[in-house]
Amino acid sequence: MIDPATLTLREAASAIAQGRLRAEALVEACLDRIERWQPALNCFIRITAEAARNQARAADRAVKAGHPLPPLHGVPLAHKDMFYRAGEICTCGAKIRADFIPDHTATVLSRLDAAGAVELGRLNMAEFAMGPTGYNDHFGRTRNPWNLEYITGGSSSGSGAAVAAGLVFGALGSDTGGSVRLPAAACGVVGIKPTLGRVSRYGAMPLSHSLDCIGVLARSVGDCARLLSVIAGADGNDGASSSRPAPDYERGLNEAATPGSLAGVVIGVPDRYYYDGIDRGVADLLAASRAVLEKQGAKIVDVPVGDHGAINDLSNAILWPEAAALHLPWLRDRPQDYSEQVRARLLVGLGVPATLYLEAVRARAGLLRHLLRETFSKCDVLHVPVLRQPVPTAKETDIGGSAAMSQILGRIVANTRPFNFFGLPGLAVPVGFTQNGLPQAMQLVGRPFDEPLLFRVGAAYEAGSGRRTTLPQI
Amino acid sequence: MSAGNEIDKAALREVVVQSGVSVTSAELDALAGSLERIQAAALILLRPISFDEPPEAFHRLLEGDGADEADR
Repeated sequence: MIDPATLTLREAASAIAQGRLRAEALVEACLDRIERWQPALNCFIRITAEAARNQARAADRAVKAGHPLPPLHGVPLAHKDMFYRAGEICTCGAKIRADFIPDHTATVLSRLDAAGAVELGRLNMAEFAMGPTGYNDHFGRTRNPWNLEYITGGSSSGSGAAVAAGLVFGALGSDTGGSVRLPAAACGVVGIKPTLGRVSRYGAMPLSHSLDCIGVLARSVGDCARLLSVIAGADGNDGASSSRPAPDYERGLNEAATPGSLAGVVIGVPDRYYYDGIDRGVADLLAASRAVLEKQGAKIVDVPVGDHGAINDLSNAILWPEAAALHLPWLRDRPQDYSEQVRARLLVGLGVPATLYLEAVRARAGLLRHLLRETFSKCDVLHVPVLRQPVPTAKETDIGGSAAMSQILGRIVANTRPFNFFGLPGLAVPVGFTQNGLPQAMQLVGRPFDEPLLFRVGAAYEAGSGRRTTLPQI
Repeated sequence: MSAGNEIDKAALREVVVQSGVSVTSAELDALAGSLERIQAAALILLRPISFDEPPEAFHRLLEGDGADEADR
């Protein structure tokens, strides 16, 4: 039997399609790993083993029958527990929704189903996707597979941990302020937050309508590209989804892996903010990643950026009023059912004047225009760390709803949240480990809808560095 | 609610309570701190907005992929 830990998603899909691997055997191998890892990681909220086995047997029958096979045929996945499937509980990581059964299915799940994916269960997450550490007072903290004392990042905490530990080949996450990129970075996997509107949000739990993006986490750039190709594209059920055709994101990735493939690509390093106060070990890893990109033919230049620290703070004037408006009935009637930290963060939304909220929304165009003119006119891709510091321990970030909360959590999302404000795509790619043994990642940020270039640069880095995502040992 | 960047906590408590939500003193302190940072950012970023800039301009710019703006 093939150990799933040794395969990427695309390799697993090929092995099944070519009859070298049975989907059922792959599902059993994943379930075996889940049984061993789950007690330590707490990354699953629900494991749907029997349904997965049935799906896998059907997948094997389709292979045997010689049917044309979709791109994820028989591939085991699991998802953050905030994507609705009609008739099945979707907790959103919250006590308030512990028994919530939606009456419709998320477009992203329908598309993954149509692509042949097998769902192994639902993954832990921050309560209502609010929290960048991986804490959850109701379902327990998800633990980092590289060291259980450290945070996974959040809010897609279970997605990061499950993919990193080789329990599944990919997972959906959501990203409103960094919730895909942070767990990807902290757990050592690849994560993409696409351009705002690139992926339908129909049937996904909302947090902030202006900022929410659905993304994916997987163990390689190519795997993320395949998953995004499946879920991206216009959706009549989501009026905010882009009508632009979604490309095949895997196209050109093989060429990207050849030496010199980044000739003509200019990679910009911001001249302020994103590297301010960076830990030396993190800085060294980021510098080494730039050297690899340069060796692959990219030109590295310093580029000016505006006051993105202020943008990071201003995004709270959009996020929290939108979240508070959604949660207001529960804040009134069931305040005791929120964790202290989530409640404290939601209250911020009640204190932001409507005029300030609207001005922040209105400011986005001008600030994006400025970034495109002043920064992206000088480069194709921005290169910044996801985190400026090594991944912290759970103890260091266990701050509840205290006055220190917003500063400590704010530091974690400092380099991710501005790009939610701008709506730009961001790809987190592992670049190595700091002295504490925890992973770190670079964040590649592109122009609107330039995910193909981000994947190309990411794939060139993987090839140039010889880095293949490694798995932690249990 | 505020004079400059300083938050009037009594007024803030009133705003929260009027929305039907209870708030403790500790929560109010944390809330005031968050609002101070938001207001400081607003002072820096919100002044140059054009009177005629509609909210949907952002989505138009994004959907048009900003190609004209980012020409190299």
